[in-house]
Formats: sequence, structure tokens, C-alpha cells
Amino acid sequence: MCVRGKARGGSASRQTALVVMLMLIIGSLFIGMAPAGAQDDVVLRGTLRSGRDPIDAVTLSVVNSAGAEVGTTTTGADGKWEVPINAADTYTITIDEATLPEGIGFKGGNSNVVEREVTELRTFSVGFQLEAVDAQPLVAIDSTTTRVLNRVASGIKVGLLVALASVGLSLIYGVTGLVNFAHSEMVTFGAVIAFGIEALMPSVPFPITVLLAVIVGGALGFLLERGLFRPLRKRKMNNISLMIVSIGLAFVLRYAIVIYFRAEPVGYKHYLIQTGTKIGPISLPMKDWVIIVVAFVLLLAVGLLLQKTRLGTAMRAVADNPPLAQSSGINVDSTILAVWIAGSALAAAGGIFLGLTQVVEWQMGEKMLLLIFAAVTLGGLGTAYGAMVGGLVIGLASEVITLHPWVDSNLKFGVALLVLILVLLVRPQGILGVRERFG
Amino acid sequence: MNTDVLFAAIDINKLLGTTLRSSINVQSAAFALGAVGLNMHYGFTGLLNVGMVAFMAAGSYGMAMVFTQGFLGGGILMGALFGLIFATVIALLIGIPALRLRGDYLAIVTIAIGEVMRIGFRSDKLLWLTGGPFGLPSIEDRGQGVSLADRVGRDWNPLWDTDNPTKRLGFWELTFDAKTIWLMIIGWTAVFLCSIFIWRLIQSPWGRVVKAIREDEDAARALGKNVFSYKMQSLIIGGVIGAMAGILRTWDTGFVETQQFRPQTTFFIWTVLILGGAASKWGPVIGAFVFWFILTIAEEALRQVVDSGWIPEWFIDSSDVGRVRLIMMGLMLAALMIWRPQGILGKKEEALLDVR
Repeated sequence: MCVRGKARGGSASRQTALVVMLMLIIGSLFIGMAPAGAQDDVVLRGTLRSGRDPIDAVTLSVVNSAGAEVGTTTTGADGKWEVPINAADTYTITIDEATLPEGIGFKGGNSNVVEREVTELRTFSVGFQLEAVDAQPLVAIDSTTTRVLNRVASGIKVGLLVALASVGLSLIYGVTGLVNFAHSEMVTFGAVIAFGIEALMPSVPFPITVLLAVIVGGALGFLLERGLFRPLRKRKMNNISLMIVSIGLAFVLRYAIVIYFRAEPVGYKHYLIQTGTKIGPISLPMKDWVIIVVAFVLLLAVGLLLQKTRLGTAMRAVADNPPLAQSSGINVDSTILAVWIAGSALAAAGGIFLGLTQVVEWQMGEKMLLLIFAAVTLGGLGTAYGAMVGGLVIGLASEVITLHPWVDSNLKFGVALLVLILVLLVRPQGILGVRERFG
Repeated sequence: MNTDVLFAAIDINKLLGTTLRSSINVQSAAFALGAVGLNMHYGFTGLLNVGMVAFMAAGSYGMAMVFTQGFLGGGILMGALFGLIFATVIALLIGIPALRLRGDYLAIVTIAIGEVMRIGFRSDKLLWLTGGPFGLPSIEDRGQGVSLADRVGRDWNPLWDTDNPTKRLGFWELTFDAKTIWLMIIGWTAVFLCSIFIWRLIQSPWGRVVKAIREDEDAARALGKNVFSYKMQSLIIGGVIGAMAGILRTWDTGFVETQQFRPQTTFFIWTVLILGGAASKWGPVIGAFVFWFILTIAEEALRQVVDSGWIPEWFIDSSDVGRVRLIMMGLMLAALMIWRPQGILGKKEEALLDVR
């Protein structure tokens, strides 16, 4: 319902980037809906069962990647156990086999040791494959369908974030022809600014912090266009030279962030830890659900801006043919400026949300840059909707592919990019791009 | 806090010595070699290759895999040969999808392939082959006498003196150990030969076609030239030279690991090329020398000044000095592109290509 209300708001307004800003404001307020579930301790937990019967009085120990013991526990009468953890790490959970009851053993090929990679600080469950030695094997803890659905959900989340970050790059490319390598730094910048505002003014509600950081992110776009790229365009510098300038700019921004922010990853104090909230069979932290909704609403707002407002029409016209747009009375320079502001504000929003689901660190944009490029190229360079579609495809592909035992969490980026190369072979203009003859 | 203190903080002899040493060191030669390869791509053919590390990684890992796993007999030279073949394969892999597209696609695909290779080599699944995150020769191998550094610097080195292994050669502050001198000779010779080779190529009929493609692809095509094929040949030649740069660097460090192949290495090479002058004969060589000179002198001076307490710690502390180097590289690249795109030796009309 809220989504429809916004849609009307977007179509009613006549012009200007205020629409975008308004959308961002309202959109960001959604975050306020998420309960800060930080009360719960973060634990590794699980239930030991043989078939349907819980197994009690079994001792488990948890050791972190440095080899230090994090905790030892014993299962209760319901077979449940949990061990508190306080860092993202790879934990090794070992069952003391001597404490297993008679007649209970591990299913074929499984051992009493399980490794669990905790990628973000929230509660994870750990499963052991136990069975009565003579019994028929019964279902595993999570069914395959549930695992697939959960992967798809987190793929949609990642995809929406990539889409959010990519739209700006694609729009900027569309109106100026510049492949902006510093776009990833705008993503980092938004996340870092939000962290700074939160640290300076801890009492400010987080949605307001997000909003302020998004505005600062838009201001960076304004500065870069007015202070750097517009003067260079007026000097008739070509796009390749400008691309190389943006590479240099990316380095300056990135390492300035390391020096004046910090080198080690941090998380936002709000919403640091949340346990999973189930909707249907899918379990994601509440903040992730909110992020999915807000990101979706923002992308919808961008679509409406492009289709229904004069500014959006101007943007599309400039992207299509700048001289023609100019001669039709469109102010090309201010349209490009609006694209820069909106694009970098969206990148900043993407960065903040990424920081919320993972961590805030100086390399977060750099790590994401390739996904962004892949999304933009996949969808078709220069098309905003293409970037959205491409982002979703890349996000989904890279998350769902990790279901395959061969693909670890590092390799998934590589797989996503290989997909990109294959697409270029078959449909070089991208999913939504217009075919143009070349070579 | 006056300037006397500042000058007292800087030891001029040490500063100049360190700077010159790094300007002519093996790493500088490796970057020059990489820039020679990139010059073929960008300077002469107009290919926007922002994934030079992919070729360097192919060379380094190809060589190190053959060396440590003993494939094909396992020597260093056989390894190097394999590395160059590997780079050729990578060039084909990049070129077939990307060379038919507009220039910016090539930029995106090359940077993507570079990252895919880095992430792939790092994977635990390839631990047995590439050493995963531990590199090659992996940490265990290095202790067991399978030492790449020893093979290159001792068994292979005519300058090696068994009686005096710590002997340093050179004069004033410019002294190097025997292995470094040996690799510097190899490296700069390779740079020299490759530069001459590329220059001869460019002055041949083949080179004129390649330059025509850079200036106006459609015109070249209208004259019946197979543009794709020429671009592919250029990509392979430059890529093989890039692989040599990777191999040289690995011989120097004695091992490969994925951290050496982050995208920033490519951008260092770009800065070297633009600084020296794209599409010029000796641009990459001058570029590498001047680039390392500027970077090291600034870093060294900054380090000495920071250590003396002349710069307030909240502004830059000593752990930031290495990062300032990267900021300077970024500024240098952007400033050169804006004010002097032809670099030190290039011609302005050749440097302003636009592939769109």
C-alpha cells in the first residue's frame, strides 16, 4: 500500500531532483520500522537429534580460527545447544564422541567436526548429521527447498543493493559517456559518512542518519561534477581520458578514506545484531527485510522519476542524443548535474545498506565495483533499467551458486563475472541494451 | 618547528641513495616491461586494457606452477615459457568476447578477468596447484629447499660468489646483492629488447595498420583490413610482454601470491606509461624511472619528516605513509591526463585518442 502511495506522489510532482530526495527521505524512514533486536546474544546454536528424538547430555566445543576455545556446552533435554560468539570468524564445532549415547552415530561420510563460517555477526545454526546406527536415515535439518529459498532471498537482497549502486553509474554513463571508476568510492563514502554521523551524534535516530549521509553523498556527486568533470568536459577532454582521471580520483578518495576513517572494518551500532525473522520458510534478519523493501521502493522511485517527470524525460533525452536535447531547449549541463547528484546519492544509499548487512570498511566499494560493472554491462551500458535487471541477475547468480559445494564464498564473484563474459559473447549489448553494429 | 628542523630531519645522502636504488631496481624494470606491453595495447593500438595484472598473473603463476609442481620437467625457463603460453591463452580468452565490442567494454572485461584470475588462484579448491592464499612456492615448500629465489639468484647466477654470499656490488649508496644485480641485468635487457622489437614492429606495414586502427577503426575496415585479427595480435604481443614483467617480478620476490595482483598494479603501470608518454619508443623506460624516483623520494622524505615529528600525527602518522604513496599515484595519473596527456616523450596528437 505504501508503495502505491509513493507511486502517486512521484507522478504528481512536476520536476526537479527534489522528487528523488523526497523518495529517499520517505524510503529511508522505513528503516525505522525495524526493531533493534540487539538484546539477544549472538550464538552458534543447533539441535542434536537422531531422527525426531532429541539427544541430551552431549558435550560440544567451539574453537575459533586462531585455535582458541570459544566455549563448551552440553545439550539439554530438548537436544538444543548454543555457544555465544562475538566476532565474525570461522568456527570449528566438535562433538565429544565419548558423550554420545550408545547406538547413535554419524551419518555416512559425516564426522563429529563441523566448520561454520560466520560472515556477519548474527546467530547461525549448526547442524550435525546424526542417526541411530541401525535406523533409517531421516531428513536433514534444512530441506533443500528451504535452503534454495533462503539463498534466493539473500540473492535478491544483494541484487537490489548492487542495482542501487549501479543505476547511478549507468545513468552517468548514459548522459556523459564516462565509465566512472570512482563510483565504487561513492559507495564507500556513503557508508563511511553514515558511520561518522552515527559516531558523532549517537542519539539521532538511524533513519535520519541515513538520510543525512545520502544527502552528503549527493553533495559529493555535485562537487565532482561541478568541480572536476564539467570543467574537464568543457576543455573537450575525451571520455577515455576522463575514465583514466576517474581511476586516479578513485585512488585518492579510497586512500584518503583509509587515512582519515580507519583501516579495520566496523559495523553500525544500531542494528548490529539481529536474529533471523521468518516470513514463510525464509529466515533473514529484520534489517534485511527492511532493506529489501526500501531498496525496492527506491528503485521504483527512480523508474518513476525517469518515466513520469520532466527531469526524467530530460535525462533520457540527453542520454539519447545530447546535441538534439540541447537544441530542443533542454539544459544539458543541469540535467547532467542532476544525474550526478541522484546517482551518487543512490550509490551512497547502496553503501549504507551494504554496511548494514555486512561491515563498513574502506575496501567495500572496491570489492563491489566488479559486481557493479558486471551488472551495468549485463543490463546494457547506459540504460538505468538494464542496471537494475543486471544487478538482480548478478546478485541472484552469485548467491544461488554458493549452493553448489564447489563454490566457496570467494569464488562466487568469479562465477558472476564469468557469467558476464559469456553474456557478452552471446548478447554484447546486454539484456536491455540496443544493438549497435560494431566490428 | 622551523625549516632548520625540517632540513635536519632529512638525510640527503640516504634519501637520494634510496630513491635512485629503487628507480633502477628490478621492480622498476618489471613495471617498465609491463608499460612496454601496455604501450602496444593502448599507445599503438588504442586498446583500453585495464587488466594488465591478468597477463602478469598468468606469467607468474604459469612459471611458478611449472617450477613447484615439476610439470614438463619443471625448470625455470620451461616455467617461463609456459607462463608466456598461458598469457597467450588469456589474451585469446579476453579478446574473443571483448575485442568485437566498443572500447569501454574491453576495459570492463579486462579488469574483470584480472579479478577472476586473482580470486580463482586464491581459492581453497586450487590449494594443491596454486597454493591458494599462501602462494607459490607455498610456505611449506619454501622451507624444503624448493626455493625459487635460490634457483634464480644462486644456481643460475654467473655473478654468484659461493665464498662470499653477502657480497654487495656497486658504489656509493648504490650497492646491490649479487641476485639483484643479475636480475637487473636480465630485466633491463628485456626492457631494451622489447622496446626495440615493438618499435620495429610499429614501423613495419603491420604497425601502420595497427596505428590506423587506433586512429579510425572504420577507415581501416573500409580498406579491407581484418581489424579484429590485428587487435588480437596486438593484445597477444602486449600480453606476452606483460607476462614477462610478471615473471621478472616473481624471480625477484621469490614467490607469487594473489595480493601482488590487485587491480592497483595495473594502474601503477598505466601511470608509468602515461608519465613516460604513450605511443613513444622510450616512454615506458623513462616513465618507470621517473615514476619510481618521484614516488620513492616523496615517500622517503615524508617518512623521515613524519618520524621527526614535524607533521602533526592527526594529519598523517607513520603507518599512513604507504597509503600516501597510492594517493600520490592517483593524483599523478589524474593530473597528467588533464594537463599533459602526452607525458614526457609522447606527441600530443597521438595521445588524445577516443575510442568511442
